[in-house]
Amino acid sequence: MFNKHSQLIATTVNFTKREIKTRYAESLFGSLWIVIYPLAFAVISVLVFSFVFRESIGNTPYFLFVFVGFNSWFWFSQTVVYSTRSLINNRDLIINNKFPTESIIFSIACARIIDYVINVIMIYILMIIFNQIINFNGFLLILLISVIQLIFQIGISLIASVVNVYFRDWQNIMDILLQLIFYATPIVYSLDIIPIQFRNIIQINPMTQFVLAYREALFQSNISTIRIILLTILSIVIFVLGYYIYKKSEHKFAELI
Amino acid sequence: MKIIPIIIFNQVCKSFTLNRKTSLKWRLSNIGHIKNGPVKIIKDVTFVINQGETVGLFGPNGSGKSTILRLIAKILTPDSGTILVKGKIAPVIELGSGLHPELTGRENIQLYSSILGMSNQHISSHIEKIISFSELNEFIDIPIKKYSSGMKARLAFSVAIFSDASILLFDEVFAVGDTSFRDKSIRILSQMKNSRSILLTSHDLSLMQQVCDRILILDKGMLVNEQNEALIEFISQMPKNHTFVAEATSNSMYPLIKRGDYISAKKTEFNDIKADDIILFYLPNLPEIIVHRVVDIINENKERICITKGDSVFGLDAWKIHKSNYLGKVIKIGEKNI
Repeated sequence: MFNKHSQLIATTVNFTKREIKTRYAESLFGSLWIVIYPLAFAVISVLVFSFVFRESIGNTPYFLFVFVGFNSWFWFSQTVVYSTRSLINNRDLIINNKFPTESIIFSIACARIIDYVINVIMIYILMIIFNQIINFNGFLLILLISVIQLIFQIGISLIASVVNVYFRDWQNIMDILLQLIFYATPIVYSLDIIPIQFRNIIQINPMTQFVLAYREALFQSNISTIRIILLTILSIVIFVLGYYIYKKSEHKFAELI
Repeated sequence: MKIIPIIIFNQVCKSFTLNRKTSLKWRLSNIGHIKNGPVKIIKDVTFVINQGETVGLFGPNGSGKSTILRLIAKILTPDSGTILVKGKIAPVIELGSGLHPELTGRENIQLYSSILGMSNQHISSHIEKIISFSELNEFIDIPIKKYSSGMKARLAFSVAIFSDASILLFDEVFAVGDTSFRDKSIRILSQMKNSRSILLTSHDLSLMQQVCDRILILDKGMLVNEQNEALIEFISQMPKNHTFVAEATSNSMYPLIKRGDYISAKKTEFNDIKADDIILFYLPNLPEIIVHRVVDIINENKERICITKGDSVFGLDAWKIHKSNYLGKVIKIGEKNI
């Protein structure tokens, strides 16, 4: 019996293929952009911030430090940005066909996994170049944190895409909001340069916790278990909430888009 | 054959808020006085479609045809009333809306099949049939952005035809594509008549005549009453040269006869009709009496047949009217009751 679940999987798979195939279809460098993008941002950060920060943070070279942050950040921000606009962009599809529309959001998240994985490989290549110690436990932790972040950002994407259907200014507001969150996440700086009284604000940001968790897993031997547990709970809550909101408002989409 | 209702559409109403503004600027500047209340698109529509039936939905633009199809497909939810559907639906509301230009024909078949709810096994066992029916064999592995609109329509239609749905909804699917493919599509639709229920909309009444068992006429969101057999019976039994008055409900003879005009008709002998006369007739599967102009008179199998057409610019194809369908000849047209 071909039920709703298998249709969700089938459409997600097909939309993901569509997403991957069409994203870089017309550009000269094609899928190379996946790596160029965070590398370029890391280089820019080194050029701009090397005056402000030391060349390395702890034992980690600044370039690597920034690249890890950017990889996590781009994965999050691009998934959310593309998802937010995706329902409007697929208006024709939604108003003329009956299918689980959340597969559009899922497919964007799935297509971005490929970019992310390529850049995680890039991180390990950089670690070899910068003579860093690679440990296998750290790699397993990276996998775990990535899965948690994926669940988190799908939840956020579901909510953001619904809001955008009702309130079209949302996509512009969100661009600004993301810029703000970017600066409130220790990507180009380390948490300990922040004055102690502001540190709490930065710590509340879930993206801070993700970035810190990645760096711990990669560069340090000790890892905060409580952080992983809290992030897991938060991500599951956000995902369930997002899915609930999406399913509750889904029947209105065809009319409002 | 046993009659099994497949779609029950019971007293359904649906309104839309047109010109809905979602921007912040609009919301702030219009606090307190929101104009543009909801507009009723579907007004209390009731009908039943049975298993194995092919039903046409006819009406002018904006009469709510596509909305009815979207309601049946559960893309839209009704404001009031109930819609019961038994079986799997494949809605083809805008041909090609499930296709993506960058993907090849083959990839699009996969994509569109999954949107229509087909399993991977079903897709892989039918893909060759779909390709050969669409006649796109040599183009199937190139991106469909290179296709013509007719080719895209053929691809989408072929996928829908080979879907495992028991109910097919087609919105204006025959408007695109060449005549040979159109004829082929009509043939396959009549071949699968017994296994499937089909609801289709079209502007082309004579095509619907050919394909459908029954035609529902929709006007301004309301279903025009199904053919009043008693009335037709009454008119056909009127004595010769008797006159009667009718109100025009469509614009097919525009500008000569406008909607709401009254026409006076006379029962005359069918053999006396000349070209350029305006006549009234009915057809068994149409709910309304039609007023058309006679453009030609021909003899077919020793039978006199009138070829008729509407004056309106939306000119439908010519119709063949036999003696048994003839009701009367228009003798007078007026704006008020005459």
